[in-house]
Amino acid sequence: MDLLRPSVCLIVTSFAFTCIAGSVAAQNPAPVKPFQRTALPKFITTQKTTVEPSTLRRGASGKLVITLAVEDTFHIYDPNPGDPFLTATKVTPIKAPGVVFGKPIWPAAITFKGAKVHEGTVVVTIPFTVKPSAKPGKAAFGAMFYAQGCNATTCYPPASFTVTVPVSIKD
Amino acid sequence: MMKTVGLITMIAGFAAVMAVAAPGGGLKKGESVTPFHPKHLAGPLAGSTDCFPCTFQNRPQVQVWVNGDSLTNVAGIAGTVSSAMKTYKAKEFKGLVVFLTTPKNAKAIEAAVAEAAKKPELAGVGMAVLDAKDDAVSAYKVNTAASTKNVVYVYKNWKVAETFVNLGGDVAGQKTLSGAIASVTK
Repeated sequence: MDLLRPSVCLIVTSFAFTCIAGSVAAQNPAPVKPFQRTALPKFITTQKTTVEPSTLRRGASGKLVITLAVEDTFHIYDPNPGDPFLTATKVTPIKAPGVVFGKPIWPAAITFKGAKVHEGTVVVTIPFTVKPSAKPGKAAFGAMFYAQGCNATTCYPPASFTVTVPVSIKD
Repeated sequence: MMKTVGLITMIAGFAAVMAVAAPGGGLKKGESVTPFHPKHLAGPLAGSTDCFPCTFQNRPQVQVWVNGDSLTNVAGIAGTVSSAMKTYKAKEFKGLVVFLTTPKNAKAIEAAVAEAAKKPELAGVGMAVLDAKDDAVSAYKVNTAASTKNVVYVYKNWKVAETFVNLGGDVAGQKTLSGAIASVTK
């Protein structure tokens, strides 16, 4: 029995440290990189992403149209909210081979407590050009957002999310 | 000899498990603070139940959650926060002390906090009370066991930069807190 004790201790200790590792992992999940999240945050109830025109040809221009529905009573901040301590919404087009995206175009903002915000249905468009050298075939266009939803009394923590739409580039 | 070593190893192993797995050890670095609505007794939001991080948004901030800590110790911590608010006025650094209460002690704590808030050395610091069973207590992972006297969060952009549990209000604790505040006000 005495011979068994060190083994038992080793097993118990291994179990203990396994538990520690598990617990640490549970408490310290791998840090989320900006824009890694794809699920919509609670303050964006729905989104619809489309491309115009629906048929893309090499050398042609178009626009990515992202329609976000902001939770009722909440708003998200304009990319230039007018206060450096507010969470300016960031929109970054996802790179696609052979496609050049322009600067996102936002609708006119409204003012809330001195800050520029957007509420309700928010349509952001991103112009793009398909290079003549682009390879025909299927691709995905999209954009990565970093935003925060607030209302008059509370805010959600800032969150990242991604929207995408499948596209087909033709000759 | 082997028996003793084995026993010590087992105890150490389990102690480590318990220490790490103990609930309410506070938010970790990089986790987000969340909105909550305490009853503000003093400071910029006095008389309201406004959400402190929602009001001050991405500014560098400190929240001190008090769970039965002595007013003397809390005064040491809050004094450091007050001093930092002057030092980092240009960075708009803000601080809030949240005292957890129960229905039994709420009135007594409110009276004591309101009195303590009058001290000039605590000027500007938000003082609030919150029921210990409020959802925010678990959201902030504050352990309400008697062994946890305070949990201090230093954060910016809604992300925790430093967490201290049972921070001392003495010189050493004040120095530690000042260093953490300096790091988020660069």
